[in-house]
Amino acid sequence: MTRRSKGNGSVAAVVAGVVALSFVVCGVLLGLERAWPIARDAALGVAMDPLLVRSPDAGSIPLVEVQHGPDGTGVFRTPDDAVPVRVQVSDQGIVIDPERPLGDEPYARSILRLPATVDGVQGQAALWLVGIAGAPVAGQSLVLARVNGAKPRLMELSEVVGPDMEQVRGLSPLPVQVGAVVPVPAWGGVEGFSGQAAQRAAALERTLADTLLTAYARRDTIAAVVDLDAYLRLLAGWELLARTPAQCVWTYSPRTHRFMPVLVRAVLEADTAITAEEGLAAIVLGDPGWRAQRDALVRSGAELALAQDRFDKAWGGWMRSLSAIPAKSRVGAAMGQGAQVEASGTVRMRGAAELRRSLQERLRAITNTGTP
Amino acid sequence: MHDDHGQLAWLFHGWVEHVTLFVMMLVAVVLVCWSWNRGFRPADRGPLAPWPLLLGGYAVMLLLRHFHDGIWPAIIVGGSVLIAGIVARQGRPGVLWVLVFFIAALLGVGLNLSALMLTLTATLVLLLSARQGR
Repeated sequence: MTRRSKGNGSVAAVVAGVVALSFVVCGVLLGLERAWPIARDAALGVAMDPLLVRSPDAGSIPLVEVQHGPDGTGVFRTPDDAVPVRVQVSDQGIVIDPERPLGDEPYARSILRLPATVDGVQGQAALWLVGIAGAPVAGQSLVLARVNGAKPRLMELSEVVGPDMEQVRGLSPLPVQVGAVVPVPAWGGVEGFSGQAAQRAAALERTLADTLLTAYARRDTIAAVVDLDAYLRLLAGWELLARTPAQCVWTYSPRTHRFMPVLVRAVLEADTAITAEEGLAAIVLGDPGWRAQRDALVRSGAELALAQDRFDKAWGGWMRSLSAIPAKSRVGAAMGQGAQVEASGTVRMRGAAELRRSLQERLRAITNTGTP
Repeated sequence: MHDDHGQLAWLFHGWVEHVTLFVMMLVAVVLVCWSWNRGFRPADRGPLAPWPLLLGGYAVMLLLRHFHDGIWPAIIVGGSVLIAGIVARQGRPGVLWVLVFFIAALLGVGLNLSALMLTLTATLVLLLSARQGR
């Protein structure tokens, strides 16, 4: 080897060493869990496809902070804002009552809670899918939340459906009455309603309980008391989810004088499907006309979800956001399965791609056959 | 209020991009230089990755990545090929300058598959061509 080539070799070795050292330093400072996806995405983005590039800035999931004292007062900080809030801590999560709406959200009252599943994507995807079917759903976004200075965790910031439900959706300036949270597809019962709403709720209860009524009488009462379009759309969206566990609240609108369900929580996966063999759902689906209407909504929902790769794009967006979140920040509530919590507290995503594929196949099958 | 190392994350992202571009350029240069050198006796063979060639190609690529709008890419490509032609008349390995700058231009404008095809085709041509033709 000549002196010149020896010199070149040394320069190359020094350059390679500096590059390797910079990688090690960044890996240590950022943490391997974060540095690796950044490096992988940057390299793939340059070498393969720019669309593979993701933001290295913890995805698009914002970091929010809640600080509160024992007296229930506190402050909620978003990346751009800080709002004084009243806070109620319960088993369900932390209910936040801000002085004004948080960030870009139109609704005021929110609940900060663990995601329905550890993978974090199921709650978002389920609400999206039911929303595609046209049913009213609660607003929800994923945040990295730091509560009272603790380590940030992946959480859902969800709308607490309240009297301003129709106002924030631009439907009516009037406040609505809100009933209890019940599992889909059940009717919510009389609890929480007063005045005219309570009377109509009681009438619906009597109709559901009275087995001697004719089908026509039942049909007329239900059509007069329940917002059937919203309910059929909820049933259609729930069918797209393959009747997994889901929760809704019933609201009474002085605008329509009818009860309307709003989906507040759902998951994509469950061991067994829930049936709709009793109560309001059984009566509604027992009517051939309404059933046909529900089936048409299921099909149009599936078509809408698949058109222009909407589902693919939405899923890709959720996964991209979530991929930058360290697994240790994820702890799920016990609403559904889909991820396993290891003893160390870290989380292993279980078959997100598989889940996406099976859901896609289901939507395609509905589109092709026209039946759920 | 992003997390503590937001700036570092962006810096690292850009750094990896640049290193990846450099590695892509290096691979292309090594491939064409190796196939070029196969036509010579071992004593006459040059380095596998001549630094001026590698850095020149890398510079063209970075320029094109940075100035990708309007008339600038055309000016950069035209200028770099002109410079490569002048350098090729004076130095060794001659024609490789033009070839490498073409590959760098393709990589610079993001036509990675075209750059790969050009590299492979050039490699094959150089391997199969007779030494007397050079």
